[in-house]
Amino acid sequence: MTFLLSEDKALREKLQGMIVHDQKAGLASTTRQVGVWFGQPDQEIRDQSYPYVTIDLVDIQRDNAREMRGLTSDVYLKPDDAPANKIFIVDLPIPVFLEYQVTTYSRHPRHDREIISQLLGKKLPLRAGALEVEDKTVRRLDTLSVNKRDVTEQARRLFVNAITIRVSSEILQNFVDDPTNLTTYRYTVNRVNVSNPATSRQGGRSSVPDYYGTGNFTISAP
Amino acid sequence: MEKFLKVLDKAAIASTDHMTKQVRNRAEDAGWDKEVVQSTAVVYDGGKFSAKIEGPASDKGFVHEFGDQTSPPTAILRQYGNDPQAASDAFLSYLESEVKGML
Repeated sequence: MTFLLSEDKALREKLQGMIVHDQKAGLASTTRQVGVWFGQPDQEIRDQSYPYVTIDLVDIQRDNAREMRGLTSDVYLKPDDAPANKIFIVDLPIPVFLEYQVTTYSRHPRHDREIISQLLGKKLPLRAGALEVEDKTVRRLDTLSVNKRDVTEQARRLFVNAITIRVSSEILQNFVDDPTNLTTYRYTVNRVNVSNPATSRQGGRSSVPDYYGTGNFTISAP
Repeated sequence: MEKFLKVLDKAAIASTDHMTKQVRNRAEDAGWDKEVVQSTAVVYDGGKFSAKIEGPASDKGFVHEFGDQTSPPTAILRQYGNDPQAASDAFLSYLESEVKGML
């Protein structure tokens, strides 16, 4: 997982694939792909390819409600540079939420409605939204608000919707142990032998008939 | 109980002035137009706090908050809404002064 980059990529991929239709009298409708951009595309590109959608990251907040302390070795947190077949241990990551603004721009009211329909119907539902990220985790995705703002610029209508969404995420902090050295901590007790103690090792209690002192321990690596 | 609820309402309304200052400072720092900054306020209505831009500056305010084709969003109002600590500090200090001697 790469914090932010993974979520950005997943969100862009989720929003891609929307299609709107141009309807002309007496002709079969033709389709247009809705472009998805981070921030605003260049003016030249934008003029040629309405409608389009932009993604802006507008806030990052620590999510105290999900905060926990401790250690973990969950697979999805495994660092990319960790050696294969070795364990790793990390601090529990700091939960955050990322707030994105998804803005749609279109010139035709029908395109505008088609985009809203696809966004709120499939991509960014008002409840039970989810975002699948490349690390195989499924993040919570909440649609917080939909703000409609249609404007007229240079005597042409522009249909704008600003949708605020929230995606759960985590920031990985310290590595507790260097994964390359962890084998030194992985010894397990294979066998423990307690031999019958000699009188001299009975802790000065040889006069107590039922007492057996500790004998020799042998701890060996597996 | 009724008396206590009235005090809560009173403290909430009193703390909106402080919250308004906080949100205006943030808007100013983000480069919002002065007219928009002066039209931005935190209000308490129906048991909820909300930050609003009212009057003729609301169109410009929308552009500052949500951006447009030439400028990115600044999300000052939404960021303030995500930061309950800033508001709760103000509210609690007003509440403390109001309930003093009641309990």
